[in-house]
Amino acid sequence: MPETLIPALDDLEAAWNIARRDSGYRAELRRLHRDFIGRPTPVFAIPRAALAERGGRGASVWLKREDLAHTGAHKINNAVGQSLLAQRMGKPRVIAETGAGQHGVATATACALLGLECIVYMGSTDIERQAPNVRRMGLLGAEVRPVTTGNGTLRDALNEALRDWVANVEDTFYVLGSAAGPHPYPEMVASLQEVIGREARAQMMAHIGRVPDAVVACVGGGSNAIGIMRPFIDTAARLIGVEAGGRGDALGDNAASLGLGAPGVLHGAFTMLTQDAAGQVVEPHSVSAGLDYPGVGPQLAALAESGRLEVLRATDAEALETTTWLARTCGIIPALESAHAVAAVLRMLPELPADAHVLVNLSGRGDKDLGILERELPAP
Amino acid sequence: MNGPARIRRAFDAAAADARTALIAYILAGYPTEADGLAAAEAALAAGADLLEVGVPFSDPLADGPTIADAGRVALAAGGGLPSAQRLVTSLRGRGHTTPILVMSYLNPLIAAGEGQTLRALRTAGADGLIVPDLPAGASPRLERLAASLGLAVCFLVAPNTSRARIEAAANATTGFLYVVPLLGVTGARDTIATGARQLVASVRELAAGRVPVAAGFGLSTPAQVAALAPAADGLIIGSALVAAMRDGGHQRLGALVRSLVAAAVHR
Repeated sequence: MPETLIPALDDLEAAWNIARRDSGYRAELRRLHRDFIGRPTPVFAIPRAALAERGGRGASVWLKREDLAHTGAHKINNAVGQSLLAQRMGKPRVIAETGAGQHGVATATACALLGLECIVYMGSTDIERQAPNVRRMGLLGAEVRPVTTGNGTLRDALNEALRDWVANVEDTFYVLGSAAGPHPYPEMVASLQEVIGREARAQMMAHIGRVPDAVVACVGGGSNAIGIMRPFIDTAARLIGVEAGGRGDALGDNAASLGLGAPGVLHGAFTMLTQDAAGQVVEPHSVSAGLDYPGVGPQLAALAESGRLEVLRATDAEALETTTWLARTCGIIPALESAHAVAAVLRMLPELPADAHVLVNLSGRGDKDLGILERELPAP
Repeated sequence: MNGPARIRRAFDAAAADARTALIAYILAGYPTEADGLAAAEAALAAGADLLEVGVPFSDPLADGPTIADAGRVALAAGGGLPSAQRLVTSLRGRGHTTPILVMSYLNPLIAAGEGQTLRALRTAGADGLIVPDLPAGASPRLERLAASLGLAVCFLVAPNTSRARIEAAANATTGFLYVVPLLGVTGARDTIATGARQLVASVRELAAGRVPVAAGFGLSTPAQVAALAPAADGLIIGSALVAAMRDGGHQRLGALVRSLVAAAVHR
């Protein structure tokens, strides 16, 4: 990280360490979870008959319905938590980066509620593929600044947000959207997303009387994955992260930094990156704008390195097919990101014993993807 | 001569001439590898006291549009750390003895293992490193490696850097202490940031002669150089030289460096 941001990161860490232990902050966050976001989000078992169609032999697949959270994805958990912190720190100006637009919408929403100025950096390519979210941010009073550098995607938006922060560090709070980037963001974002796993663990205990056999989530930067998994790390549950396999395993055809990348430093974190031999970060590819980050949260990289986290990939085609399947059999249109996690579970299904229970984080809903789906899927 | 000594000698020589050292930033491989070499030689011929060889990077988050855009051009033409290393080798092969500092973001330096990479840079003839996304103390291993190879390391300080961190940066720096006199990224500004001169002067006082103090980011014109020269041991010009290269090739770059060197003479 540039030296200019070190004082800001130190201040942020200090403020976060006070806030996270402060009963006032925690109570306000709980109230907003319940009354504004609509937590707890339910867990829902995919109908047996639907799973049988896909070779299921009786195993149960439970969806943690983050798609039902306000604004349609888990991103709001983090955005509300950080925006509350911005307010506590007396920073009137909030900036954020966004890929699919979900984190941008979530931050714009939290800022609207809390009376903070909100500027969202979004790559020009993403603005094109996620137009409805751009309009939502505008309606919420946020300014969307198009980023035309690089390939106009998430990492370019993040670079630009960091440049803004360097220049406006005194009055600006940077709401980073994933469990990635410089310390303390990975830890803070994981803590704010952990509510997903805490709820799910209690819900699974209520439904089946034990923890599930596996916990599965898609992995881009990894906030939904670390959020649902962290409360299960000390259990016997398998932890399975599903990366974007894109259109193949060649560099630049996927966003599989854990499975196919190499260690390096990007955005202030030492983690796994999609990069070439000379250390240039290579633009990842995924049909879903929310997974095409070239790095991954450092906690997930550590869990993968230790073998605790199993890493799989689902391709663009599998994600698209799963989206259609889930829509037709369950009446749920998942975000393309989340469809990657479900796709990997469908692939495993024939191998799972009848008494197995798998918990999948359905991290967001797919309304934002209608444009992509229209283009990528044959008309019904 | 090891890197730190050669860098120190260049600052001392400029001071003996009653000048502030002029440090020219050349983006390696921009717009092609041959042009990068021509740009470096033009800067040296025009009297630059030290040379910074910039390594283009995919995610240049400390750089403004001029260097970021040029970096993309250089990368597309095959630029990167290997090509920057070839530039250093060529300059030494042509007999240039001016100190050369390689300015690279951290990731290209560690991708193939920092030991191997730093050794190769030193062998090529580099005297030091500037890593804009590496704060002092963040990688003791890299600092130790550089020291053992005789490569200087230069750390950056900004207007919001605490006194304690300026001290730490001055202690860890073995080349020159790089003062960024503004909050923001690289790139020409119409005016010098308010307080820039005072910041440079106070950092220089804190450094207390341990290492030379040079300022960069936002400087582009002879008038700005003349205004800051009395406060600093060195001044770094980057984006303005990249823009000159873009708009008028190495001839224009050489002419600009000549006027900047002249402006750095103490009056």
